[in-house]
Amino acid sequence: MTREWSWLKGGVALGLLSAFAFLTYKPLGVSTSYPRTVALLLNPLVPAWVADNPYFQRVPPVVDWQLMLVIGIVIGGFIASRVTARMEAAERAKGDQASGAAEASPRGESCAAGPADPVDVSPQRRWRAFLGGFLVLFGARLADGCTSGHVITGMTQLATASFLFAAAVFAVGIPAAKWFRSKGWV
Amino acid sequence: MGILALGLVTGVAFGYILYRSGVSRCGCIFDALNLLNLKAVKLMLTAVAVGSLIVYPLSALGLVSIGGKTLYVLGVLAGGAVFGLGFAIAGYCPGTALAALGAGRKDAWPMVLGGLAGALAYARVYPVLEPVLIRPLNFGRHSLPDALGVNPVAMGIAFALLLLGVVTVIDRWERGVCFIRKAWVARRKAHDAGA
Repeated sequence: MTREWSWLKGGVALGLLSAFAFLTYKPLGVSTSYPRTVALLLNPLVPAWVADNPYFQRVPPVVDWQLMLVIGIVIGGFIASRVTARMEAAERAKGDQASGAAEASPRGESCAAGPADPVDVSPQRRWRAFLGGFLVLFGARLADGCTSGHVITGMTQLATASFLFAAAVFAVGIPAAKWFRSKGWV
Repeated sequence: MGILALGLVTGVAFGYILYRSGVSRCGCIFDALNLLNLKAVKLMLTAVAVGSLIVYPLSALGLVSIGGKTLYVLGVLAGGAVFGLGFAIAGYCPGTALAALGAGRKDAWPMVLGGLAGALAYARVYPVLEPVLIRPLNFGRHSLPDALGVNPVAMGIAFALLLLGVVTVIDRWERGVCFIRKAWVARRKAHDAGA
């Protein structure tokens, strides 16, 4: 069982990357690329509708830095999962002396695996993921930012809106998550 | 072309960090929102602190501009509430879903498709919502140091140090070595013994 990065290692790495993005071009952000992808997909089919929509006039169908960033995240997730799988295979080959490592990991270091991690995901879970994705992106576009654009970079900018956004997310998210868990949905 | 390649390279590093640190697993987010394991919160606040400690001193030297975000109270609060509800259902945010997609998690596809549908729905209703939620109580670019009349560099560095303190307390609390938690547990025990 390969230990994933601690919060400290991951946090420092993400902070360095955030600063790198500030210095080289612009602050990290993800969620604008969802409507931009929709605009790019719809533009060949219904160009007049895309051109007339007031929101797509703000987010026109062009490939930009952030869309490439978003494609990069998918590639980075793929590479990281391959690297992790290779490390785990190497550890298994060395023998099971690391058994019990999961129990030994201190609280606050490693998280629960989540519903049916890693491969076996039920149809209900997929429908919930679809519904959750719909709400997450609708909310992110309404608030003009997500965890990256509002929380990580917005708080770094000391933007008032980002503190309000984070407060609203957790004020609703924490009771909702507790309620869903009590119902056994997640 | 250079800017696009830069975006791609930054994104690969972003996705690698999200997956390797485990926050791209929905279980990590569910744990955080249930207040069972705050790893994702500690990671995020550490990232803000480290970023601020680099960016603010460099901005004082004029090497980087901090920018800002538009404050419109109603839309930001409503959007945050809808986001929070979806976050509690999906266990992904827009970025971690993409890292999970690359890693081949089977519930990442529906999350991303749902996200595209949500973005399309927002574009569709934007003309209706804009006069109600975005135009009223709109303060333009708004940041705490400007509103309070404080030097942004000083406030940025002070805020980063405050966050590091908060993260340390959360971490020590979770590991059971925080003096605040010890005092709290001792009080509870004394109370139970009395009752």
